Amino acid sequence: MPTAIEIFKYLPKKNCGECKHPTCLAFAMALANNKAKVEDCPYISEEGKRALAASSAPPIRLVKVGSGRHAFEIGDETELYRHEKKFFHPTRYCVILNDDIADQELEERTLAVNRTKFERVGQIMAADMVAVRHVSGDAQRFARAVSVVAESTDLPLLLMSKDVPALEAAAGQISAKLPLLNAADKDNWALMATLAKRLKCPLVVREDRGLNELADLVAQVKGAGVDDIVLDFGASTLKELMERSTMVRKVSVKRTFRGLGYPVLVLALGPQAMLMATLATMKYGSIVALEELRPEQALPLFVLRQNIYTDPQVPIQVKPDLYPVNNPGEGAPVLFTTNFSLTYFTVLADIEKSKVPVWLQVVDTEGLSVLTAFAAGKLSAEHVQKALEKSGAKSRSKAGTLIIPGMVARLAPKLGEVTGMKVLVGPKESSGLPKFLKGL
Amino acid sequence: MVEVPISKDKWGGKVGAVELGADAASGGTRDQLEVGGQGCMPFLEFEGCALNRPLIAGEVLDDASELHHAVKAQFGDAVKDPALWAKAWIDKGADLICLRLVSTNPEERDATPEEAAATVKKVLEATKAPLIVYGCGQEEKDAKVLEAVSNISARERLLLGQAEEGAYKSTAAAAMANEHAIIAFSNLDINLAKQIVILLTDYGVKKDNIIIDPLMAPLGMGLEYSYSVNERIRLAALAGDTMLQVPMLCDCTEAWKCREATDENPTWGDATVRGTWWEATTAIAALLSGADILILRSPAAMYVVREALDGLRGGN
Amino acid sequence: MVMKADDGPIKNATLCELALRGGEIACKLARKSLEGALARHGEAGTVEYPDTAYELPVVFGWDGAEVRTLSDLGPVLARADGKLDGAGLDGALAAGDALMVSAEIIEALKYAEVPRPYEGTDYCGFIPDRVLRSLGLALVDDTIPGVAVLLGQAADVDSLVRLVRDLQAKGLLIIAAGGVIEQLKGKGVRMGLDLMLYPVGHGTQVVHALNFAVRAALSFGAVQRGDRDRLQAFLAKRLKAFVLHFGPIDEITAGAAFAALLHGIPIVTDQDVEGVPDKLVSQPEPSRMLQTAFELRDIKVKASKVDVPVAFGPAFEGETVRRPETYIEAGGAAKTMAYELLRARGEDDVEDGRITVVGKDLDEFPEGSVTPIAVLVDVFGKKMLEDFETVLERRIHLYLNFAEGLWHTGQRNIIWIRISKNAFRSGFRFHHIGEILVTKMKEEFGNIVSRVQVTIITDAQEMRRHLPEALEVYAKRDHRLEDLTDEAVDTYYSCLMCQSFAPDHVCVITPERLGLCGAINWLDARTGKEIVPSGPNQPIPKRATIDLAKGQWEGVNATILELTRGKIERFNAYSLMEDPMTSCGCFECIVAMTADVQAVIVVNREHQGMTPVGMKFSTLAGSIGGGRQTPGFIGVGRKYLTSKKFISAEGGFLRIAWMPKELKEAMRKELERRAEELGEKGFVDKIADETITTDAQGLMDWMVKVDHPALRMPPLLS
Repeated sequence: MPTAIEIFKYLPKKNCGECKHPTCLAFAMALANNKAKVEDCPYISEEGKRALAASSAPPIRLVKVGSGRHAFEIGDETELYRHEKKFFHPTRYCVILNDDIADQELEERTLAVNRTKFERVGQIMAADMVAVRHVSGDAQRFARAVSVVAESTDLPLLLMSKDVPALEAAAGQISAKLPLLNAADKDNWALMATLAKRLKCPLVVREDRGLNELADLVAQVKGAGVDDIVLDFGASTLKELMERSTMVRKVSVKRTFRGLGYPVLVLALGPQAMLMATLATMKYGSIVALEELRPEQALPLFVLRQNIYTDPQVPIQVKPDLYPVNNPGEGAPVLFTTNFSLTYFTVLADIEKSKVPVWLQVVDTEGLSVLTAFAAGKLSAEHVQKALEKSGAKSRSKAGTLIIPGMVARLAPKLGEVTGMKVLVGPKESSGLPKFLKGL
Repeated sequence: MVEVPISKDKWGGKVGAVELGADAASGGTRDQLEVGGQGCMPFLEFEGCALNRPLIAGEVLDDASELHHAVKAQFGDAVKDPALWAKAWIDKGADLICLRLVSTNPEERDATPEEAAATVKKVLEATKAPLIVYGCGQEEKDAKVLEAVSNISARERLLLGQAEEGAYKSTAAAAMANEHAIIAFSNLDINLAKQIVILLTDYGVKKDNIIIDPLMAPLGMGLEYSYSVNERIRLAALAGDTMLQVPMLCDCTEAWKCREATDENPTWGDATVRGTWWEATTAIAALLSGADILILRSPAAMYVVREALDGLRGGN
Repeated sequence: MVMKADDGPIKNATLCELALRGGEIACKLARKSLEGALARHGEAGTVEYPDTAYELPVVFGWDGAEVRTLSDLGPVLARADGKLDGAGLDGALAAGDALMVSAEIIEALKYAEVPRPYEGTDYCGFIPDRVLRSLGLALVDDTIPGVAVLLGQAADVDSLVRLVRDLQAKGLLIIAAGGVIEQLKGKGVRMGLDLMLYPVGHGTQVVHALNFAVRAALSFGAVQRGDRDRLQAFLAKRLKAFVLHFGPIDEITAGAAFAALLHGIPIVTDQDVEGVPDKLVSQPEPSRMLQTAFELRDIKVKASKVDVPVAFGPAFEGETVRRPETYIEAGGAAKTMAYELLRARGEDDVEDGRITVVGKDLDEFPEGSVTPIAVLVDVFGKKMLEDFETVLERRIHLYLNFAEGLWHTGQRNIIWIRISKNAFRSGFRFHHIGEILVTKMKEEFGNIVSRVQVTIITDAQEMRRHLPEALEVYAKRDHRLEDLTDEAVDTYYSCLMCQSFAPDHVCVITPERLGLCGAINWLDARTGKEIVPSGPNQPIPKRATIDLAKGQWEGVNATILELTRGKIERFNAYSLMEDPMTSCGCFECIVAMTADVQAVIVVNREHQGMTPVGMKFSTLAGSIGGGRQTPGFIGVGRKYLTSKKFISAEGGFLRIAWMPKELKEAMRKELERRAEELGEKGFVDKIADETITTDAQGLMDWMVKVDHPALRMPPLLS
């Protein structure tokens, strides 16, 4: 990706603001950070457009699946390791339903997928997609099953059939929902490509013999006019999944080899399905399709995705509020920390360990840790006072005691003045909390 | 046919290997395992050699009163006796044992260094597996406990935990006295990981006696930080940073502290399975980011991790 | 023969000669003892010390031979004897080796005759393993800070006793050999194996100090039999032993001294010797021998708590002492003369821990008084440099504010101090300021200062006497700072503190470009390296210049490549546009090219409004942070704005066309000074701010209107 200055050279330097950015420089910066599109500038020259398009085309194609509010984008990744920048488009989880299930049960199971949903640190984590797999051998049945599922969910669909006419019948009725068609293989690719092109739907290209063979097939499908391609390299073991997925990502982002520069679908089937899903979440899987997603396994999997796809430079934040720990009553003291998730979880665990009842006040520091927030002026006596007022801390804890992190001991006198509470300086490290609290 | 220009990293550096446990030829009485030696990023053997299989250590406490019931249930009465508990772990397939002498905590039971050493002795006699030993985490007490442990297990080549910036001398001295290996702990930062290795080598500990622990934050509690710090440490080692060319240990047991792992909640499914996967997922993330030794609390989680490990290594 | 330093220092050659003779005497004695023993017990007679797993430890460790019976001793002694034909320093070390092996044999043979040869004497002789075990690792992990071997006969018994009391107070292990034993006994000092003061005995009995040290290495360092290299390495590094020698030097003492040197144990003697730096050092003043030894071995005794009658800690840093609560006030609003000065002094000019109050103390003033005050701190340390003075002096402010009821602001001769009535009532007096500074300075800067003394002056006349020196030093420092240019040094410093969240960020700190957080300048980084040698600040050798104008050097590039682990190959310290320095995230200000590519704007972290480049601070920060190089944008520390090296590759200071009003006013003085330096008086008012414009066109119009000098420069981007 070119730098803002390199992009800036091609811009009209009119500062007209039509791109919604006040200056061309700001627009260039947004482009450089993938936060704007070249087309947003009405005045850029054709030459500039070409130059920028060529150098800024993502090494892995961005593919849109589905329509409506649950539509999602996959691909457009630029890194091998998340610390280098970040992973942009989180892995999507898809639950596979067979078309030989009776309508009513099919509907119920689709609704169950809709309900696979958790809320965590202010984010909704949910299943993203439903697949209908053609196992009945009956094209009509498949079409019927697809329509039942489509009516029961707004989630995007993955339609799985090798039988092109069957797939055509099923997909045709819901093509406006932009389902992902699965899959073109070495035998049916020409017909599949024609279908995908006609329906304007994205298409999975599957080839399990090797990456050269896969790239061959992809080239043919692309040649037939399909741009929105999703790869299925058909890994049958964890080792294969690890190696093929890494090779595809590496060859795309390190060598800018565009022949495999597409998002990846992983069919996680069989007894190791959960392990494959776990691995694919960390190792470059765009969509993982599973036959079963029970909540006790879905929750850790979703949290893993949330963790891995967190922007390394934008920390996960906890909602600023007053949290009861160890069932505190009016006599329990208030202890504050920042809303940086890591700090919060560490402090929480250490208070729980102490078994001492405490009201834990989370102060909004924009996700910074205690010292960083203090240094950046985002953790002052006033900030703390504001947080205490907002959460009504003083009406819930009548002890009148405020415990503050040892790292910001110097805030103590000011805090005492501002809050009118008795300020106790806690330990510098959270690990000292159990001893400190027990000693109160 | 299209020839995909497979991109392979060629690494100049290699992680050193550390021996744990001493067999008869080395003057000890147990199995000897080698850990580390990796010459490529995890499970990418097409880019270099991965000398040794990552090892799984089963956690044993000398006081199980705070142990989660889902874990306790898997061991039954064995949790009352560290030696039996250790044996149960080995029977279930753990490679080595991680013994935590929590009872020595001066604010709680305050067991004496001699009692702690006797426990270590019992565990050593119960199995032939190498042993990791931690104190209770209280610096002054650990100094005495680890000294006693080191002496009672001379020549057995334990892995002693832990040394960290500001509190490494006594652990290092305890390890050096009887040629045990040592865990160099740092808090989620590649430069701090490097610094503790420098401090230890300056102190006189040989590098082939050091294993780093850069703190494995569990799933949902900062796992993403650890994942990236681990990757960066391993990448730096492979790129030639000699002070980071040491095996890496990841303690995954903190996963059991996460409420979402263990709380009962009607929409979260079975709590026992969830806890198992919470720890297993943490461990698999550790493995993928560079762990050479895992410490696990639950055997059920170990079975999951073992399956993942075998699968990732293509069955060997 | 006994050497006394009557006619100038004893030459090393003389000492070597003595040691050789000592070796010969010891070998001869050993042979005689061995012959006698063989005659009495035959070859199969056993020879061993009581309670040890290491046979004859000196032989076990250094020679490597296994000794069980008298027959094993012959070859050992022959090998020792064979070492006696050398000359010079090496010869003397070999003689020391021979002497200690001989002495070990002589002593061991005593135990072959009677089981407890020293029973009933004042001496303990061989120190059994159980003593070593009971001390445990504390001996080598710095819990016991060191081992002092007292050797010889002191000239002044009282100062010897004081020395021993001092050693005991600091928790050192003491081994006494020679006449000092009787001297201490005469003064009622208790000695024994359970008292951490072991009187081993006279003459060859000194070997019991050495075989004790050797066993410490064998048992705590896992050193194997005969592994001389590891033995030496462990003793040199881990067992912090030293010898304090008193009185005349005879052959055995000389030999023993070289044996000690072989063990990496340095010697401080009260005799006038030529000496070997860091190994054999003369210190005729008994009260200073310990300090000298501590500095030789780098022994730091853990700082005790700050001994003041008020609460002390960072919690009180933000506390203010208001006027009605004030007992006494100096400087500032009190309008009295007040200054503070910290100096690096010579070894002989600083007595550690000495606190002097000159003039009236606190209780001699009535409540509500004002007073002049001077706080003078003198420090000494082998690694202390004059350049560190300012770094340490700035800490005075922090430390004094840690005390409850003590309030300090300002620096140099513009300080302002208040002490509260409560603090006075709790017993706080001026010398407590000294207590605070001595303890905290040594605690934080222990790696660079080993001695601190403090003088508090409230006597105006005395203060005036010291003032010229203070003023001269301040002026000199200012000069030094002015002279401290990037060209004048050959080393810069890295700062990696931000790599935890910005993996590829390396701050390169030069004298004229401080860290972009604004908190660490070149001197701080240099001091930081000395305080934590393996810490985040490491020296960067500049090496060959690649581009002087842009500020690019071979050494800097190489270091960056290494520290970013191959991610970034080069950067220019003085350029905004070409390979600029990376930005982490904690920069004080951002410098950004303007939309017309003619000028730059500066925006500080505190400013939340829009800027003429069309981005607020937060947007800019999000786009350029994280350790990336973003041409056209850099994060900087405020002070860099007025540096001669401020984007000097692109025209420098006069490129600045806009900055927030608050920042401009806060920095007005420095900005004006820099403008005048460049012959552009009135330039600061040509810098627009948010009250003038916040859009690109507005800024361009303004620049034309005021005839901004940047308009006459080439565009930043062609």
